[in-house]
Amino acid sequence: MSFGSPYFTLPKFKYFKPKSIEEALEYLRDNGEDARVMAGGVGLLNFMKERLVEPKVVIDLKGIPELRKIEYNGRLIIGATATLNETLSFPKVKEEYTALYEAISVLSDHNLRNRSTLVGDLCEALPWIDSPPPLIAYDATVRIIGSKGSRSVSVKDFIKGMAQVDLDPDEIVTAIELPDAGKKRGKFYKFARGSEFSIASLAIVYDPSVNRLKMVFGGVSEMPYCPEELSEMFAKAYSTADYISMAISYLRKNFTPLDDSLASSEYRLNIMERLLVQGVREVVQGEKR
Amino acid sequence: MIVRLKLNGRVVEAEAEDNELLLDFIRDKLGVKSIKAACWRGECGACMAIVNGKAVKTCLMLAVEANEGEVTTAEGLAGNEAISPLQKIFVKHGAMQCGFCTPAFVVNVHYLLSEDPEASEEELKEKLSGMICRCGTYNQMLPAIREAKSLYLRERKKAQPIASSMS
Repeated sequence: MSFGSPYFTLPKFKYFKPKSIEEALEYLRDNGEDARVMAGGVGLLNFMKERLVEPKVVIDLKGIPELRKIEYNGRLIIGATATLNETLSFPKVKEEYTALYEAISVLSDHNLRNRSTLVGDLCEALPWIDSPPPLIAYDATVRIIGSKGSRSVSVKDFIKGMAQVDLDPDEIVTAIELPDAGKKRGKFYKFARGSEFSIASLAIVYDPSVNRLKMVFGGVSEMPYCPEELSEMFAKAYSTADYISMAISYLRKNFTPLDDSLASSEYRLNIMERLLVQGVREVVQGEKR
Repeated sequence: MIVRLKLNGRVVEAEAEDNELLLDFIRDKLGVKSIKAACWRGECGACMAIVNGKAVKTCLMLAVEANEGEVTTAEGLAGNEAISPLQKIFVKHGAMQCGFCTPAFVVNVHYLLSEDPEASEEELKEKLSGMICRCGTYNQMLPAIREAKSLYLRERKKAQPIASSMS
């Protein structure tokens, strides 16, 4: 039953569920741009209902056991079809990658997190999705495999724009890899109405062993905003208060946030300031005078 | 393709189109009507069912994905009884008004409390935040959930004799 509206039905396509990566790549090679890979499907099926994408072939990766894995061996590796809830319940994520844990906890809702995946969210590359900023803050990389072989690219370079990622039609993302968190302390702040799309968010990670601070804003531009200058400034600042005022004036001078139906540009800039002040105080305070 | 699954304890099968949603498949092909179609985009949660042990929104899942899987809806909670103990608690507290979303809420509360009967009220509220009751009976549901928590805690204790008392 669909009341005749296209928004309730999916366009016609053929469904494949390969059992190995090689088989998946074969389907991709055979169908080229007509094919889409699916992990959790939350994003893809919604886009298909809206007729934003109309693939002829959908390749479900959930039949490939090795893509489901989350493992830690000095680096944290999160497979392409590991759900967000599986990621949340992996102890290392909560213990050492706090900013990522906090971001996933406030992403959509518990039931959708039973289906959607970290890799899927990253490949959508939409500014209001909360997981890419902490991934960038932890210097994560994306593992990709295609018919020409495998490669790795940093999450920062992987996102090329709104809904644009560095991925060829014959390639799939197999995992996201995060380097050892060491002594890093991270936090994630989200400003939104309820659990809705972020108007602005901040992933902030501080590494006391090398006195390095990394801040990545989400929801404020077409792609995560992570100016190197803010990290460089931190190394030079002689106090947190000094750093905060320098960082704020940098933002005011160099950055114009998105202006859309969620919030105006000026509003977003004010929220960013608030997040920055709170973040720097809570994550760095006590380490630097 | 033919989709075969265990629905509320019974193995059933039917022909499904590749582009058919699990929601439509269960309602129209398998005839189980307690799950509802409302927003069709994962916002309201009225189509909630437990699929392979996890409560998910069936409007964002393909029928073919559930092949060889196990699905539980509100109809499957009661066993041989007319309604389950959890449903009785919902009735007792009047935790519904029009009843449209009630089977979905019951299924999700059952899933959450079976997974972790010790979850705090805040956690449960957060985990139920993906569902909407347009009659706004949340304030009747909370006491019902509080009472249900002690029920599920007792059930869990019965199911696993406490190891610590042996030592």
